[in-house]
Amino acid sequence: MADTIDQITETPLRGAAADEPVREILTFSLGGEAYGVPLTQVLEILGVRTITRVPRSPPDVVGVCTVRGELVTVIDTRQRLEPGAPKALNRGRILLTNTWEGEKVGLMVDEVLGVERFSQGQIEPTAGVLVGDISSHIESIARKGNQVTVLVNLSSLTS
Amino acid sequence: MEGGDKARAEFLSEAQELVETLSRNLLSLEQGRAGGGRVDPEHLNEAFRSVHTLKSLSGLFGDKHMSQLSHRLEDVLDDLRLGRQQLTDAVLDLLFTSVDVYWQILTTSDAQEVRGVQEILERLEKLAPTATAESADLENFEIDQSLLAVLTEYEEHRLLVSVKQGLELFLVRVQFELATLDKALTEIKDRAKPFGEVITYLPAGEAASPDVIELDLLLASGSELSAIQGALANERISVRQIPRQKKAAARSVKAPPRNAIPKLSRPGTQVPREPAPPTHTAPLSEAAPEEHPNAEQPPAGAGLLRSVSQTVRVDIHKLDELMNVVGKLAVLRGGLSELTENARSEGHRRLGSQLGQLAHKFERSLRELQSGILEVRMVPLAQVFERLTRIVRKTGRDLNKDVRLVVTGAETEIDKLIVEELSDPLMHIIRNAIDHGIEDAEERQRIGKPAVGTIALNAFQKGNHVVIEAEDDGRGLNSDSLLDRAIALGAIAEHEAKELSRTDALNLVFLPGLSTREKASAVSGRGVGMDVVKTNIAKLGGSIELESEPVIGTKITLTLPLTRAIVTALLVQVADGMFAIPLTSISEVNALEEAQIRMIDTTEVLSRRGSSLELCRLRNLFGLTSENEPGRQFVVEVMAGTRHLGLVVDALSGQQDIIIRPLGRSLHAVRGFSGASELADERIALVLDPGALIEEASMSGSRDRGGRYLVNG
Repeated sequence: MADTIDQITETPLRGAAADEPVREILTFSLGGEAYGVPLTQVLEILGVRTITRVPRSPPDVVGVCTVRGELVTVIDTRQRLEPGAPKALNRGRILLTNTWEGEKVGLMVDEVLGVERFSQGQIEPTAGVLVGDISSHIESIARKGNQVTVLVNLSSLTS
Repeated sequence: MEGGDKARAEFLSEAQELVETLSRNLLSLEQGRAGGGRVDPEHLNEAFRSVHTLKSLSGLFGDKHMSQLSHRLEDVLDDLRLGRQQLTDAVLDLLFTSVDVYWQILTTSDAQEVRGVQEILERLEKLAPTATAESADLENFEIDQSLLAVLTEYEEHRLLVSVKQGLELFLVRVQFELATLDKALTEIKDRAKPFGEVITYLPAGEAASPDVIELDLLLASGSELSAIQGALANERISVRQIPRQKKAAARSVKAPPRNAIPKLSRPGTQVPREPAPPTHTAPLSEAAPEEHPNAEQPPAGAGLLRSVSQTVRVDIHKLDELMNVVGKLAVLRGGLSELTENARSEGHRRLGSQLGQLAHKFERSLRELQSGILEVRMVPLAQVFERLTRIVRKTGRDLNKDVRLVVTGAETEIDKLIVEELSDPLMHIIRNAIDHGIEDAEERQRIGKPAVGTIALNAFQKGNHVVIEAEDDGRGLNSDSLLDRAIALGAIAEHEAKELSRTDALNLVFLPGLSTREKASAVSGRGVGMDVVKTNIAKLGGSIELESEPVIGTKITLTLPLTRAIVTALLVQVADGMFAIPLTSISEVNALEEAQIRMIDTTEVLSRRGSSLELCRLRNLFGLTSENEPGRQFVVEVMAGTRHLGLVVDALSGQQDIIIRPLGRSLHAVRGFSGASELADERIALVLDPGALIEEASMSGSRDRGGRYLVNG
């Protein structure tokens, strides 16, 4: 239980009007970039554990592990966002989430950064903002000062 | 909405059981008629009861179609019960059609799409009572008029039928403790059953103490008084015969006219009607005679209303959850054993042995729990076989072929989840047999076969498997026509076709898109065929095999695991990975003797004892390497049906009961595994799917050997 969300330090709310709707985003790093997913969609953050490799599995699957008796497929998040990226080294954290079909899936990330609150004004859709080979799994970009967080669409990422 | 869905699911499952009961009893009735014309009234009663319950149930859930059908059907069955309607072939047909309509209602989610309800309602309505009103000379018997007056219409009908058959009437007077009335009554009825029919029972009203009730049972029997006395009588039970009167009409004790009889219903009688009215309200009907003070309700009557059923309905997924708990407990047990070892190795001998005993007891209880849960999941194959009997009837009629289904081993038990999935494949096999296999009566007689075709369905348990054989005495598969079709489909080349053995040619029937008939018929041959059957059986961890002889017939054998919930597996190591192989698909394990390996084309084959076994090195297949070169390796010989394959592994790591969990969606495309399992030491083993591996080996083998398909062995 040492790795539940409760223990993650929250960044105090700054820069947004008090009554403006805010989104709570769990942020993590992957290959030096900052990414985020809605906090409510993360069930649990798992620490390092043994992951069993499945022979002949696609490159973006790290393997399988169990969480309290339940079998969880662990996805190499970076590979899935950016096919061909270096393979995950299985020493980061795993974000446990539900797919829309109700299956539990783990997303391997390098490091969990914390929880950020973004006001709607700080979030921009990706359309027209970025050019080039943008992954379809990316939903929007959140900006706070110089810091840029890429918000990931979990349901597309895990399906 | 979740609550509503759940209630609806329960309604559907209960309705399904009732329709199955109805169908089963109709089949018994049909068999009874075929075997000499005697119809057991109990079958009619039970059919009536199921429809009656269906009526209330569907009314409650607002299922209009089912409610209308049940209503009409109940009337017809009631007429049959009461002898107002004769049970003819036409009536029986109509009843079977109703069962089909029920199934349609149950399986069609959109009420708008249900067809044939109106038609069946009209046909049922047109069934006018055929039997004439009964009359029999009850006056020949000295029956207490008060007794006759309280008979229900059904009981009166049964009494008249019995008298007509020339049976004697007996009055069995019994004394029961009020507290055990329920049980004692069932017991005496069971004991009386071999002698005849208990038509009714009534309180005699002469009880010696308030805790005791005295009942009179009216028994119709062809046996001698002494025989019945010998079997039933004791200090609390006396039997006397109701004498026939010598002088007819000396006292005209005739049954009161039917409309004068208040339709009583006593709780605990065979026929559930509307809630039983207390007797004293019955004489509301003005013609009802007042002079039957004996016809009091048994004071313990309320107790009889209690449900006699001791069963509960459980969602199978709840059992899955329980099985998961067993899995977790097994992991805990692993921890306990480790602790025991630690205690021993650190010199705490007493603690170690205490822990050891505890671990042992824990283990034993865990096994009991596990087998208990497995037992609950087991259901007899009869559940699916009954539906097939109906399919045979219907398909035979549709195609104008006379076919008889002979079932043996319907009591063989198998996991509920597997039974559910068996229905479609078996249905397909049976339909194929009737449509393509069995010839029409004319052709059969011309070649000297009996006009009626036979499909034998035979089930039995074989070790940890259940085997189901479906054998028909039809024309057999035409291998030439299969070859032609396979060539036309481009599955094999013409020159390859010549080299195929007959067995291999027959196995072409499992290729997608191959149907032996040029024209698809309405019954089978709709494009999906044996390939789908094969896939579905493989999903259940089973295998399918086919034998066929021209003119003699075709036999299809399904081999299925008893359960998928938990399996005993052999754990093997390949490089650094741990894999589990279900014990049920292992035929042999041996050390690998490199000297015995021969190469055939690119395939390694092990020759021993005159037979040869194709080898599959899992290290190569899975692309696994480790720092250490494997030492002495082992061959685990796995089988699916009659096909075998030798899996080469690095080490054997013992046996374990495992719960197989399916792999996630991202891994669905990965072949060769049926899932993964957490072991007692919390490691994960991937569970190999021998059927898929054998298939894969034979496919790649066939590519290597220039296109031989579906090779055996």
